[in-house]
Amino acid sequence: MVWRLFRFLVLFFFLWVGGCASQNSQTHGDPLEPFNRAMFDLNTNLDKTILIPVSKTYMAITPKPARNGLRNFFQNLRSPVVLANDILQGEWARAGNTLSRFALNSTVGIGGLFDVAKAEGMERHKEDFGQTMAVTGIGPGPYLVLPILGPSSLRATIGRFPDHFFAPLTYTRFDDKNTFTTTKRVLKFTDKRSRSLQSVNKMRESAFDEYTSVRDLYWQTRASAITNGKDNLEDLPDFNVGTVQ
Amino acid sequence: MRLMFLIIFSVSTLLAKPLIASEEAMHFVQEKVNRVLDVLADPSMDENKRIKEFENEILQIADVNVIARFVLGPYAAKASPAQVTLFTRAFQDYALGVYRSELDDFGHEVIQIHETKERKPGDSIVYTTIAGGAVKNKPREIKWRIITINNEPRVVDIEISGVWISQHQRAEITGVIARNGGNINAATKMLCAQTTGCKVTG
Repeated sequence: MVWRLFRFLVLFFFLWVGGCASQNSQTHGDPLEPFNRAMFDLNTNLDKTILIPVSKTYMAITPKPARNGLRNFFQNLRSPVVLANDILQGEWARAGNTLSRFALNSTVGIGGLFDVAKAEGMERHKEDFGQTMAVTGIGPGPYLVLPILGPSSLRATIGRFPDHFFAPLTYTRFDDKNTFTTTKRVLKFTDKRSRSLQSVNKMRESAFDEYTSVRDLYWQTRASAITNGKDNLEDLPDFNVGTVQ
Repeated sequence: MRLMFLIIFSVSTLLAKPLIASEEAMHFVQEKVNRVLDVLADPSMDENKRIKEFENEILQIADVNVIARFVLGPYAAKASPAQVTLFTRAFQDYALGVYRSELDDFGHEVIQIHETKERKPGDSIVYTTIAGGAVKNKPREIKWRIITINNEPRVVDIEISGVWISQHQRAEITGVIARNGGNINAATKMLCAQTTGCKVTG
């Protein structure tokens, strides 16, 4: 346990140092590209052979209100993780929003099945420990494609572990915990994939190189999520207007 | 007294200039986007005329030369002028082809302008929301990067759902060029291969 903690702290330190050195950098290297491309191909094959058919079947046999209820339920379950990270980032207004949403949806929304808070003008937002580390100045580390889970960075991957401890279900005991956890993960994953069938198809059709396209989409959307959509205008690249032909 | 007046006038002019540039960018987006939406929604135009009008409007709004050089990244400086010209033509045909394929989905939207931020003189971001029509259930926040080129505002990038499109195109195009030993003709060929009726030949 002590050895694990030590390794985590060492990794944390190197990420932080790396982050300080390259915080304003627009371009991210991909030193693990051969490994990442292999993982990407594996995920694409899994997606085409298993996930897409399962997602389509799920959509065909599950009525839309049930699917929406399930999604709301999972999103509500994640609220404590979002709240913890809102607080760690000092985003008090957003923390208040998350707490209000959680309270309202868990009670009036029948355990989170209905997103009544949204109807009250309280929009949902996402946060995770990877974003919290980014806010404190820790660099992203290299791009990583995780088996099954897809695009990530070293920072975001490490961030998954503290998030696990913020999730209330981690401390809930069930008679058969594995069955419950596995069912929850499979359902959540299937529901998520079923909602991106069209957009992923479109991306696959238009991408010149799917791997590069997904990698850039990941970095850009991740950067936007970290800043909560606020631009750091200085980070935008310059357009060379002077050498137009 | 006269000197004082000159100083105040100069300072106020300097301070006002970015504001004027930002407002110009805002009006530009409002006017041009509304014009495009009008073209798309005009029932009096047949399909061919609508496409032609739409393409004319797009070419007036965006500066394809500047965007094409941007998406080439560091390879723009290494390529010959002839290569860049060919790439720019292929890029323009490709981009218009992508828009053309989506035309039927749009036309009854409205644009709301929220604010403009100036990045540096002649370089502003206009924050908008497109609502109604095809996005009536989910209004989209769109940011427009406006750069003054030859004293005229021009769109060089737009951001939708956290993704800047020109930056994304640059990541993809430079990736293709890098995998082909730095040869930008590979990107030109690839763009052409994805465009119906491409007439660009290397």
